[in-house]
Amino acid sequence: MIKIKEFFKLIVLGSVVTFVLGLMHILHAANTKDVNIAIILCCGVESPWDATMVESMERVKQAKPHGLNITYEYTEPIYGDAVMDAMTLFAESGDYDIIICHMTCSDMVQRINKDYPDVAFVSVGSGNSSKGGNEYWIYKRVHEAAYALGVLAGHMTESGVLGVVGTFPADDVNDEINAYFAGARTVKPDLIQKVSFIESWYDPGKAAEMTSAQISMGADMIFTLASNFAACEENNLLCFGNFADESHYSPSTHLSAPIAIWDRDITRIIDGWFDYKENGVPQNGNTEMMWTSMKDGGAVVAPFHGLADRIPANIRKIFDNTVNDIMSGDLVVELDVSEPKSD
Amino acid sequence: MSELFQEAVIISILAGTLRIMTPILFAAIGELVTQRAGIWNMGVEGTMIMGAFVSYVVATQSDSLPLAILSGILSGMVMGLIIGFMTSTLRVDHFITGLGLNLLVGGLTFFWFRIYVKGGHPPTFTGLENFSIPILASIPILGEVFFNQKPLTYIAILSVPVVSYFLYRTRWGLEIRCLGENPKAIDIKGLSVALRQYIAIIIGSGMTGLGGAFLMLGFSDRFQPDLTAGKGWLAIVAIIAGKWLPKGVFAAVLVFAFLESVAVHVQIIDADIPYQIFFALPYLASIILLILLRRKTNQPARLGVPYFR
Repeated sequence: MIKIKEFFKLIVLGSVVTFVLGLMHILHAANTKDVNIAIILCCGVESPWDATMVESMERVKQAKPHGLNITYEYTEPIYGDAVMDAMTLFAESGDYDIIICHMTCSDMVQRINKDYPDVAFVSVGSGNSSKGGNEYWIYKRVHEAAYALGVLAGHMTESGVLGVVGTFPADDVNDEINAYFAGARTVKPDLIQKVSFIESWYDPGKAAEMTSAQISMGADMIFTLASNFAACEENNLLCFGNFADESHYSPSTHLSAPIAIWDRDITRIIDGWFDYKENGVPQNGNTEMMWTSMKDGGAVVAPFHGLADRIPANIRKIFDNTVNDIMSGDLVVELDVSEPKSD
Repeated sequence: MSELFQEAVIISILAGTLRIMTPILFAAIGELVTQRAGIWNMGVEGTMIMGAFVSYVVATQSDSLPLAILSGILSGMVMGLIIGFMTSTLRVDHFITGLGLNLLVGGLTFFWFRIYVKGGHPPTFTGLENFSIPILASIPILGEVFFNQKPLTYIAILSVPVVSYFLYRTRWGLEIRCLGENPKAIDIKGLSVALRQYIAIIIGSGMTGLGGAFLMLGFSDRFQPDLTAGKGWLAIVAIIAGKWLPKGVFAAVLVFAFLESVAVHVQIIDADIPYQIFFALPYLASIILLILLRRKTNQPARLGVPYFR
């Protein structure tokens, strides 16, 4: 009899424990209905680099991955020690689940991420590294879209000279410049390439001067990564922008641009964080650079808007076929990150 | 490297020199007038940014470039008024005033810009266009370099003899120079030191504001913080390198602009030398000039020293 009593006691106790654990699980799951994200911007929300990240975040918010209510906020452009301060303040507040540092900052992340194991830290772009755990690394390559635009430029250039005004000769800048020229060379193998770096993320004076200088040396189409179309307008030339659709700045010259789409990258981070919060799976941030191809939604080509008529129908068809081939995987754009030079 | 000496490249380098020179020259010549009056205004960078921002807002709102340029000048004058009040009336340290204003304006213009764009696409404007001087523009090489520039470039070059004449051939100019050397002499004559310092800095800062407006309307299609990218500081260096003389300042600005133009073009040709070296040239040149000219300076004796009766 005593044994039966104890047996029932055990059953009751077991039921209570199971109930409590189940309740805790439900309550725990209830907490992961929300995710709050902080984005530390480097260059300002008007810059293509930052603008595209915020736009993607807004789309992901609407998509509600895992049914999560996403809230986010972003900073004014900051750099240097202020980034470290901002990151620490966000983490210390306890209000943020994911902190995205939209620049080269993994060295700073690695100084604090272990102190806040519940937070996912993300650094973005070249110049970073990652040790995994709650540290993630997003990389962006738009070289495939740049290649397609290079094919277009190769067909449309009359002088056979194409110019590119870059920011810094970084890995994720060089890749798209090289791909652009590679695309153009499939059409015009003897193409002359002109490349300038302003050695700054923003210096409109230098960018305008370099554009003008390239034009004076024969370039009749400019791919500008330096966000300034003033010289294109002055010389009435068709130009390509970079990372974002900036046609509103210069509707008469901005033909198109490779556009960065971050949706998949953001979702990947949210997935990792959610798995940790919901299922207790340790965060396992990527230690190698990970980028999303055009086929997988990592980049697109900006629409031609009002300048579509400037592209002859046969060239447009070739361009569309190139994009389709990239999207289908039939065309693999070679990745070349060597520093491009002028011919 | 030999490509650098081709005719088209030389023309492009020289034409680029004049374009790059324009905003720095406005700021440097304006600051020269200010410094000749004894005020060491370190707020040139901030004044340029203010001029750029105000001209951007007016250009996008009014679609009138003359109005935008005028507003850039006026905003510079207001900055000058503030600096004059701080340095001449309150006699605050000139360096602290200028540096403080640079920081304030950097943050303030950015804050106003945010309010102005309201999270949307920044409004756009049509920038300044080149103006070809009839007949002269058709002269081979020279025409393309000198006579096919933006109108403000011609005005910037003209400002050098005009300011030179003002400083050395007019009574007001003499009084302003006297302020920098011996303000007590002005005071003893019963003339107002403060009034003349105010006039000098308002004129000088107006020109600096014009430099900022040119940078905005002649070079860029959008406003960005730090738009000036250190050009205000280069203007100050040009004054020192130019030994506080209009023609010297003009020469120094011309050298800086030429070196930057060369640096821009070196990348476009297939040069074997790393282009970063050329980017450092204007700054290297300024340091070398400062070292070479350290004993031959015409620095006003009372520059940066608040005047107490």
